[in-house]
Amino acid sequence: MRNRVVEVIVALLAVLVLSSALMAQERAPRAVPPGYVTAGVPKMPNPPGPAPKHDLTGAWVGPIMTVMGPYPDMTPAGKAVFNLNMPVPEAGRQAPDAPQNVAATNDPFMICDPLGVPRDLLNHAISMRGGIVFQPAGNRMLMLFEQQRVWREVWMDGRQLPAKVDAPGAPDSRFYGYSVGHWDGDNTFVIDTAGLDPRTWIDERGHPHTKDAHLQERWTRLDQYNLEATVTVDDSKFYTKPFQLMKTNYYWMKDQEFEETLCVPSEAIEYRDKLAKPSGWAPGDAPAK
Amino acid sequence: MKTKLVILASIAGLLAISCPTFAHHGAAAYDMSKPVVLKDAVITQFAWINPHPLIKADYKDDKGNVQHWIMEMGSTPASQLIGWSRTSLKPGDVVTLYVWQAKTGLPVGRFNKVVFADGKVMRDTQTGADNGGRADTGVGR
Repeated sequence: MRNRVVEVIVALLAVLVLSSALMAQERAPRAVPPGYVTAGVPKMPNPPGPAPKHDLTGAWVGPIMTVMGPYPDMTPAGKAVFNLNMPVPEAGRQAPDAPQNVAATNDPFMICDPLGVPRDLLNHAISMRGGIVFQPAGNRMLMLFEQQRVWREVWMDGRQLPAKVDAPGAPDSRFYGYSVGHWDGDNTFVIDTAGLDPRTWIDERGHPHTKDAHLQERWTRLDQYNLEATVTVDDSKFYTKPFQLMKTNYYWMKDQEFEETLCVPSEAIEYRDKLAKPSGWAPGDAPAK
Repeated sequence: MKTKLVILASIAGLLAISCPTFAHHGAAAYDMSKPVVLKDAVITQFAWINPHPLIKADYKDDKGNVQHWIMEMGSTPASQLIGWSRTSLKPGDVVTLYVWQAKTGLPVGRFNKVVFADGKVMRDTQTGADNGGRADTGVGR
């Protein structure tokens, strides 16, 4: 029976390999990379050791093999904002013979507005699998992001999240919100976040959130080199029920060293004006043909 | 048996992360059916920028008209991992460029590959980024 199962798996993988190879051939056969382990970095043990207790310290690369959603139905208010984020093509904006299935984007990151959370966890907006460092710092956990070189502070001193923001006597909403964290068992770090600035998107499709959204991240270290993350969103004004936004994996970064991965406004504006607009997918007038 | 399953799972993982992908925007704007070939194009600028580097080149068509092309490629971190750097292309380089042109018909698009005068070829990242090069994706999964 087990042999039969393995045979089926092998057959499926063979089909995947073949289709992948054909796809690559049609599009662009790519060079085999020479390997990227920095000289002097010790070879990783295989299999990996067990996950150390209460310890995520280090640089992790990801996300990889991310599953988004499923998303629940949106409320009318949420749907209205979502439609604004991803507008249909504007009549007359594109060249007359341009396809009408190319939607312009209102992505705030087009000109380097902050990604915020949870979108920064997706990382690949520009770096394609960037990195996150977890670094304990006294009564808080710091999360350092390769992309944009921003950081989050996750407080572990027992403080409460703000009950509301942007109200008299209440703190301001923030792109990265307010976060508190605790350990659940030996290997799962739980982060609760509130007070998010509603200008950010929760994903790259433009799904919106309100300032009352509540996020919960669960970071589980599966073993020495594997980290699993799930993110749930509770935002009853825009979504009809709480939902799991993403489940994904991060891996131990071999060389533990980040590139400088910045969205530079002057560069992003050049990219938008010189490439995205003429290509028909950024708002604004494309130059005449 | 366990070893075999680990190997199979590793292959599946690599396949999953090797799927063609574009960063924060789709490929719908580009005609991916056949690349345009710009033979003997002259590089005018290689802008090593985010969110995507831009290759700018002049190409003289059959009628002698000079077209000013701009094309994007994979992000800088992903491109670095397959050998690209800020100096991979220099103004004045005479090369052959392959590009998926925008459906708008303007001389813009997604870079596919470049063939240098000495025959050396450098490609885009579009069939996958680092292919797990920065991570041990095959370890223990």
